[in-house]
Amino acid sequence: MTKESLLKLFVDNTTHYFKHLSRESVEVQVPYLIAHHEPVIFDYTGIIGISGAYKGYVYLTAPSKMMRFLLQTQGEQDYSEPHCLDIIGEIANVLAGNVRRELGAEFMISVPLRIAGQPDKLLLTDKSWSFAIPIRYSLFIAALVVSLEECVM
Amino acid sequence: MIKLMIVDDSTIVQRRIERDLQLPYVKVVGTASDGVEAVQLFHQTLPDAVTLDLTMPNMDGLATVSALLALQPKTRILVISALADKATAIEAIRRGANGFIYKPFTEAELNTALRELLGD
Repeated sequence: MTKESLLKLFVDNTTHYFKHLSRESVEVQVPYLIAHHEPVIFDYTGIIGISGAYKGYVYLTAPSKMMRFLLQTQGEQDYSEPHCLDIIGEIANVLAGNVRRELGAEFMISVPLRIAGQPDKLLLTDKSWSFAIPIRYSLFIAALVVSLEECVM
Repeated sequence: MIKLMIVDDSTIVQRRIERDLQLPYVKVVGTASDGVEAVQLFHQTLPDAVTLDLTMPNMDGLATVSALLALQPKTRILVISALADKATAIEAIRRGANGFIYKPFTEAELNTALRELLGD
């Protein structure tokens, strides 16, 4: 699969996911290449490690106000940090897991790593290409970052 | 009354399933965050049916299908997972799961799948 096709897959899945969540407007914007050592990070981040046919990671990062809003859409009234971490990890899991519809089981995903604030290390591997996909959901801006290299199986 | 156990590593998803459940003859008897917890809770609650996530720490969902059915082969298992490829669904069914729905799911999809799981 070409990089463009892979990115389109994530864009389409992300659009579908946020439209499914609520009737709020969602606009998944044009992905852009992110320079190494300049990762896009908001208040909460859910990271999914990828192995198998691809190697790298996919992460969703979003501001705390958006986490509160997302929790509301799920019927939650507790906006504490554990719940923000829970939902950011869960959404990252769904966004990564859903692309297996097209990529198959060889696109292997880890359980989510959930982080509040700036991660100690989020290194983009030299061989990987890393794109940020901006997501405008309701009044908020988040990003899905896709950092992958294709492996020869 | 049918006893249901919910297994998912997300507390938010556990509660969402519990909240969306609209079958008056189904009672949630417990929630677990991974396969190891699910097996322990199974002994305590003896559920008739289980909703089961696949991507979980400690013991993943496919291994948990096998573990729960080894304890009680009549247990009805509905897998609820983000893993949207057909091969994973087929493997879950091969191991003995009775149904499979994908995340994100709607309230209607959940209740329809549970009704089918329970033969209603």
